[in-house]
Parts: sequence; C-alpha cells; structure tokens
Amino acid sequence: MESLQFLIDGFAVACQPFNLLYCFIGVLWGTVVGILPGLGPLAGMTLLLPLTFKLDPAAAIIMLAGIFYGAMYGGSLTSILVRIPGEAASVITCIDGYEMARKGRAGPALAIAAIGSWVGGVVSVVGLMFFAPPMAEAMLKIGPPAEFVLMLLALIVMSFVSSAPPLKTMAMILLGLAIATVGMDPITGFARFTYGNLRLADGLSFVAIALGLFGVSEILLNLEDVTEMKAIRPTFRSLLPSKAEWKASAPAIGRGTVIGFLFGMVPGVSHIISTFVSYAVERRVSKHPEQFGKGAVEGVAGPETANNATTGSAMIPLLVLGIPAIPATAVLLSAMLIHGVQPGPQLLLDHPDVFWGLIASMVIGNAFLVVLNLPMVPLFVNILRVPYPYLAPTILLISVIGVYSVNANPLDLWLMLVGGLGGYLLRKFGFDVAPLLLSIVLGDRIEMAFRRSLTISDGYYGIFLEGPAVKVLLISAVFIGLLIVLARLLGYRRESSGA
Amino acid sequence: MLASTKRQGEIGTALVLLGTAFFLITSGARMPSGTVALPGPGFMPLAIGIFMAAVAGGLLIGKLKTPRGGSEIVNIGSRHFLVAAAGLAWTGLFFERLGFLICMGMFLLILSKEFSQGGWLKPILFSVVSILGAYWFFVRILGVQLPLGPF
Repeated sequence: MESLQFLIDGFAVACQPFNLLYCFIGVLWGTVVGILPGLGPLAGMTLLLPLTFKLDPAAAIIMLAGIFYGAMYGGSLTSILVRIPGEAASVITCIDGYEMARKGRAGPALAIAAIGSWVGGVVSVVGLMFFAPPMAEAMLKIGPPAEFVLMLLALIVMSFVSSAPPLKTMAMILLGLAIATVGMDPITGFARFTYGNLRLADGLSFVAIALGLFGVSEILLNLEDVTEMKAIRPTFRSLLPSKAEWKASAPAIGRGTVIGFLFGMVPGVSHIISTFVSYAVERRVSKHPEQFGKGAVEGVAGPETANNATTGSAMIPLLVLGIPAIPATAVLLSAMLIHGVQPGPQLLLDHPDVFWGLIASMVIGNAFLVVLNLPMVPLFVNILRVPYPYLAPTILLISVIGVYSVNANPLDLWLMLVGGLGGYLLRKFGFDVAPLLLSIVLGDRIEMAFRRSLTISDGYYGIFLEGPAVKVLLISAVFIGLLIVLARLLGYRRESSGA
Repeated sequence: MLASTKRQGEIGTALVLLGTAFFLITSGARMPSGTVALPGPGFMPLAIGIFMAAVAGGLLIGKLKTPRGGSEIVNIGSRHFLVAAAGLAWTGLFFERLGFLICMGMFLLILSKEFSQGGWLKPILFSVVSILGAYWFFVRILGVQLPLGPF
C-alpha cells in the first residue's frame, strides 16, 4: 500500500508539465540516437548531459532515463528497415526483422517490435517498483564487507558475460580500476598520479572517457566504411499485423519480458545477452524453427521485448545498490552524482521524488514511445538520409561541447581523444570496452569498501566471507552463474560473435 | 592505413598492459603502503598492478602459443580516421585559445570538406550554420559556459 502511495506521488512528479516535456525530449532523442548507427544510448545520454545542468535533479534523471529506453526502441527501426542495427541490442532483430521487411511486412514487424517493447518496458517498471524498495531496505543493513563482495562479484560476473574472452575482459576491468585510482585517495587524501596538477585531484573525467570509448571510437570505426543507407519505407496503413502474427507474437512477448527482466540485473552487457537468449528460446520452442532467419515474427517480438524489459530491471542495481549494470546506466549514475543525488539504498529515503518520479516517468515514457514509433516511422526513416559526412562532424561537435562543459577543462578534450583512439584499437583487437567503463565507476567504491572492512576487522581478511549478507550475495552469484550457463547453452557467445 | 593481424594486435595490447602493470607496481610501491589493518594509498595501485601483470602475462603467453598463420587481418586507420583524430587534437590545443566559434567552425569545415570529398560551398555553409546554431542553442538558450575567444 505504501508503495502505491509513493507511486501516486511519483506520478504527480512525472506529470508536472516540465517533467513531461523533458521525458518527451528524452525519449525522442533516445529514438533518434537509437536509429543513427554509431550512436547508442550511452553516447546519446552523454551528449545531452550538459543540457541537464540547469534542470532540477528529477527532470534531469527523467530525461536521461528516457534517452536510455528510447534508444532501445529506435535501434529496432534500422534493424528492420535497413538491416543495420542502430545499437548493439538490436543486432539480432536484423535477422528476421529485415526478412519480414523484404517480404513486404515491414509495418507489422515495426508494430510488433514497438508493442513488445512497450509491454516489456512497462512490466519491467512494475517489477522495479515491487523489488526495489525491499531490496533497498535490506541493503541499508549491510556493511562495507558485503558491499565489497557485492561489487567484486559484479566485476567477476561481468568478465564471464562479456562478448570477449574472460581473460581479455579481466584485463579491461583491471585497466578501469587502475584509471579509477587517479586523483585523491578517498580515505587519506593522498594525491595519486596527479603529478601536481590540481585539475586531476578529482580523478579523470568519466564523461570524457565514456564519450571517447563509446562515441568517438564508434565514429572512427564508422568513418572507415561510409555507405549510403537504403531503407525500406513502410506506410502508416501497412503497420497493422495480421491475426496470425498477433497469435505468434503474444507468447514470444511474454517470454521476452521474463528473460529481459531477469537478465537486466546481470552486470555487463545484459541488454544484449537477453536478446540473444530470447531469440534462441523462441527458436527452440517454435513449431516451425525452420522459419527463423526467413522472417519469423517471433524472432522480432521476443528479442525486442527482452531488450526493453532489461531497461527497468537494469535500474534495480543502479537505484538500489548504486551499481550500474550496463554502461548506459553508468552514465545515469554519473549524472545523478553531478546533480547531488547518490544512488543506493538511501535514495528512497533522501530523494523519493527522484526515485518514484523516475519510475512513473518510465511508464509515461514508454507510452510516448509507442505513440512516437508507430505513426512517425516514415518521418524517422528520413533521419537515415542525413549524409554521414555532415552527421559525423556534428556528433563530434556536440561531444566536444558536452565534454568541455562538465569541468571547463581542455584536458578532458585530450582525454576524450585518447579514450576514442584506445577504444578504437581495443575494439579492433576484440576487447570489450564496456567492463572498462563500469570498473572506472566502481573503482573508488570498491577501494573504500575494502579498506573500511579491513579497518573494522583490524586486518582480518576472513570478514569478507562472514555474515548473512555475504552468504545471500554468494547465493545470488550462483543464481546469476546459472543464468550465464543457460545463456551459454543457448549459444549466446557463438551467435553474438557471428552476428 | 596500417594492417596487422589480430594476433599481433593482441600481443601488442598485452605488452602495453604489462607496461602499465609495471608502472602501477613501481608507483604503488613508492606511495605510503599503510598497515594490514589500514592499507594506505599505495595498496590499490600495487594490488591492481600485480593482478594486471598476471592477466597480461596470461594473454601474452596464450597469444604467443597460437600459430602465426591464419590470424584475421585488421586494418587500422584511414585518411578519414586521421583527419578526425587530428581534428580532435586541434580542439584540445585551440578550444580555449581561439574560442569555441573559431576553433569548432574550422573543425567542422575541414572535417565536412574531407569527408564529403566535394567542393567547398556545402562544407562552408554547413559549418557556418552549424556553429551558429550550436552557439545559439548551447550558449544562448542553455547558458553553457564556453570560451568565446576574441568575440
């Protein structure tokens, strides 16, 4: 009952005209960045970060979250119409979505993708609403040792779910942790790797590194192969799916919702894994598996639902534990900190307006997206006609403004360039840069929790294996391990590397 | 454009990581180490360095054991890539010195001219309109503080 009252209050926050406006701007921009190859939710959120500086925290977070889930919708459009995924989570939709489009069923494919996304998005928000408050309450009772174990487990899990081999991912995690040590030591204030430069005292700019690793490196990769995109153009009238397509999609949407919600809480690249698992499940349960790859509507409905269902559950580790499960939520975490909002179990107590306003806005934002995605498809297709020779410099211009405006420090522009070149090379050689970014975010907190635990235990390392909270976490790790094994059995790594 | 095999790139990356690990270990050892009960600021860089050396060593040995032939060829860089990277380096050098309008106006002009590989008219129009649009939106509407140089 209490949650319901809070949710009503959340709707009061989300329905304020300005918050509605920023939610709309967020989902619209999210759809656009999802459509544009080379821009994903992470770059989309980072680019608009400066826009949020003058907003109140609730409006800022609502807008940035809107970009996050909006991009998941937008990504499906190019997958279906051009066979180019707008962002990584839409890779699998290319297979059957584009085949449907080639057979003249682009409209129904888009409609099913939009409706599945809406169902997945809304159900996962409901899950977030029910799971987050009790989890936050439990988290308030745990101390630094359990917090350290929790973050360590998140990093270990990440190295096994990444699309790169575990050893490569571990190298990226360690590199991220090393980057996080730059700046003042969080406990003693000792300056590490600053070399007398006061501007480095707060550490390296997360925004610059994130935009470099994901935004700039993606543009550098795309510049190697600038091809004109020829999209199949559906009309508004052709959007309605047939009765058979509805019948085939409904169970796939249900399964996609459950898969997406469960995988959303796994740290790493859960939004991508969930789509591969959903596709594999649909193919296995189908009476006509031979239709997959030739335009099976379930191959669109399941993965598209799953990737949006992760958006709600990926918020659980962020809002309740302060741990970003995927890179896009790491940007959200960074934005929250800029606005003086500390994600974690205290969030519900300190900023209930932000927490419940965000939940309510996700329900509203998902409705906006269905309205945006169905009638405006022909309009969105025009975005693909913007020539890349003009689009790439524009994106870089906004990146420069975005990075500089955070700290007014030209050093950050260099950092973005280094991040871009580093990300470009690492991706060329088969490294996954997402764990690098996530470990940069977690680095400080891991160190703090570790050192505080040892202070509490007077140097006794066994403290990390004691207490009920640690045991619960270890059981959770086993559960997550089972999910990973399931994903592997269903061929996630094999398919993702081949896609 | 450079071309290398994926194996060579992975070996190179492992060597860079080994170098980073060595740097972390030596730097961490020079920082106050603290006690077992209260680890000092040098503890984390040292620990990360040791783990990184082990992981990078594992990567290196693993790659050295794989046969040389048959590894995927990876093309690195292109003319567009170099121009974009040089453009970003230009912004690092001149963003504050020349101001946002001149620095980024030039940046847009050169990049769009290079990428479109056409005449100058469209890139000039594009860069003027874009930079003025960005100025109006970010500086005038949003109030973002950007260096304006001589203006």
